[in-house]
Amino acid sequence: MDKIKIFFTILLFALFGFRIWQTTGCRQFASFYFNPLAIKINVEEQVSLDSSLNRSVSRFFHNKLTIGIFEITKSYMQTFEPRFSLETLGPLGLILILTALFKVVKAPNIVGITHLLIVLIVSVFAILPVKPQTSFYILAVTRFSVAFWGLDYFLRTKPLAILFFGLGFLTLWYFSISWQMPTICNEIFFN
Amino acid sequence: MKYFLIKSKVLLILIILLAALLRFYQLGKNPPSLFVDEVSNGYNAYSILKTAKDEYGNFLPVTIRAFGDYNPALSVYLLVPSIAAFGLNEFAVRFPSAILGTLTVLLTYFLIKKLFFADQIPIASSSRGRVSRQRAVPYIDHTSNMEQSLRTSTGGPPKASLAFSGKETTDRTRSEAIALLSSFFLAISPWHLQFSRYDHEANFMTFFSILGLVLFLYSFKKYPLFVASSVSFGIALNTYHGAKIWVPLFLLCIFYWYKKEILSFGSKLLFPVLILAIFTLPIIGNFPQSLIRGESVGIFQNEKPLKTFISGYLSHYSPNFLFISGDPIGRHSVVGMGQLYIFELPLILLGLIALIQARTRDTKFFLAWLLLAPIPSAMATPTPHALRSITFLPVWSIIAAYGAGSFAAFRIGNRLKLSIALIVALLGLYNFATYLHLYYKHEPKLKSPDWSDGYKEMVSYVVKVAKNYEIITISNYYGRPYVFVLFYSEYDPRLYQPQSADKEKFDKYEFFGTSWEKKTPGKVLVVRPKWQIPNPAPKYLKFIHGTSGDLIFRISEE
Repeated sequence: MDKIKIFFTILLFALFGFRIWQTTGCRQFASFYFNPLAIKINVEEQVSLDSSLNRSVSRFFHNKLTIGIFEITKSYMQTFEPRFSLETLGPLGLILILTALFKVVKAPNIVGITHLLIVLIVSVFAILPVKPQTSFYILAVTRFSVAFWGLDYFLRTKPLAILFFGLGFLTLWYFSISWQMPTICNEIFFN
Repeated sequence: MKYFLIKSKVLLILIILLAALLRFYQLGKNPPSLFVDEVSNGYNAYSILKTAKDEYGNFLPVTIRAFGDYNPALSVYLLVPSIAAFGLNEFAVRFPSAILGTLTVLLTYFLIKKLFFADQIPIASSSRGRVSRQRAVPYIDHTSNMEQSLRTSTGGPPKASLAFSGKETTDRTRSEAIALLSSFFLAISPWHLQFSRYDHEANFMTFFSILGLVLFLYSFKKYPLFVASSVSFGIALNTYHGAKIWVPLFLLCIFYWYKKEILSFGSKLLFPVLILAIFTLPIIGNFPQSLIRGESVGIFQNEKPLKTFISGYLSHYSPNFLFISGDPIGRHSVVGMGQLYIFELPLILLGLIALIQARTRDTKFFLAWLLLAPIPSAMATPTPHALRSITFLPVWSIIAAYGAGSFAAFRIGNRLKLSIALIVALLGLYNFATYLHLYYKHEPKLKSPDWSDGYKEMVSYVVKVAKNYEIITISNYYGRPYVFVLFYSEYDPRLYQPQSADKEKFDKYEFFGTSWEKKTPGKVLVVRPKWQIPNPAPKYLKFIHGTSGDLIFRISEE
């Protein structure tokens, strides 16, 4: 079974590697950058709608603190968009991530929880003023790493191993047809 | 315990009152105007009330042709009593949605009492792990256990080995609290409130499918309830286009998890199956029309349907859709909010973890519901779509309540627990107050164009001066003006039905596209959208502004 596990791991590396190679053709990566200016704009927009209302009441609902939390959360949440995960990991990777999460939730262990916490914390870097390309690779690598946790599930039985292969082919096909990767890449060199 | 049960009943009544208040307050005023589909449903219901025929003169139709989308007619029939009681107005059209929305909150309470309450009983008499394995025991036994426990709690004789310990009481208290919290979260849910204050068939589907499920869960060993459940699912099937996908899917899910109880009815199953079969007849009988809507929005017209489906399905779990931005369609969410409150996020995460760990049949069924819910919506575009995925309700509220329940069982210091609970409660209160502020103060200004705002004022004016003109011509730029004229002028359906074939004109009303030029002599009242300014400028009689203050129509005499 160990040999199969190594084989599966190599296969998964190859699939994820292929995806990463595809992104080398990306001229402009989609950005998750949180722009602080969005807070000011949002506050002003909201307050202007409350022209008939007492200013203090309006400020209670629309102030820099609450809108700031809202805008930061919005940018941060974008890094967990299922569509982004699907485009980055493909169907197999996504199922592996779900399996990994299920595994950690069902039988919590310190390594699994720490790994998930790292993913949550590292995702914060994606919304900081770094190059969008760097943001993408940070997010992609952390998600790839979690996907490997789900691998064990497919080693249990032969039908599951066959399913793994099937999903692998589906992922390859998916990567090929969704070459454009709209949530990853705004502009691509080659198609 | 007895005191708690009385207190919980009072709390339930308060929650229902809150749900009703949130659904009925300013129902006729906010959303700012009736949307074109609401107007069409309202007028067809009015037509059925007056003549037993729809606007096209079809006698007691099973589908409503409306704008060619042939919706199941049941939702229109539900409006008939309301219009008979309150007249043809905004409140009457939205009343059934609001009342069924309120009742859905009540149903959620009973749903949880049966789903998770029955589970809790054996926990007290054994370890949690053992109970999980014991779930192979037929559900019927759990039901009787529950009845037994209720009897015990009210002073009746306990049965056999089930003795009440302190932990059992705690579990029951927790279950009751989860049921109450689920109802409360649904009562204040922005997602549910949005559609409970808007006449849409999908809201009726939600009510009847949840009613069907509740009746089903209470029906073990109670055959009449089982029959009633099949009637409710049959009704749900005939409320909305999406129900043709959702209801069979939901029924299959129920059958998969509860087949033992269903099959225990033996040959008696035939009657409920027959009922369901009868309810499918209107769909089968109108199958070609049923496909029209699907063809216009379905993913099968798309180049890559599978990719569109997967992507659409996943988009319904998008954190931004759920907690931050909501559905981009104007009528489906409040600007600056998600479909759910942000304070529910940690509770939902906790709830999901607890549900996965519980591994009972009921929790598995519940998780299956969560996974199936976006399927009808993912089969159409655009996605995510809050209306088509209304099948999610009340799942998210229940998960949040379950999360709160599991947090209450955390083995941490009481002071810390209380502090965290207080922070979440304060955040929740702030979220809720912000929602109310956005809904009542911002929405009418921001979303008035999405609600066909301005038509009511325009038609009121036009009807008032109509006798002075030979022709009244109205731009169809904002969509289907004929139905707004019919609705707001309460035009006699007996007079309209013979003229219904031509949607370009009826009586002295005519409807035009991009521009209008006078071709016949006589005084004409012209209603143009704000951007259509003829040269030379005509004699303007009235300008119609929307709730936001924006100009919508220019009315002139030519």
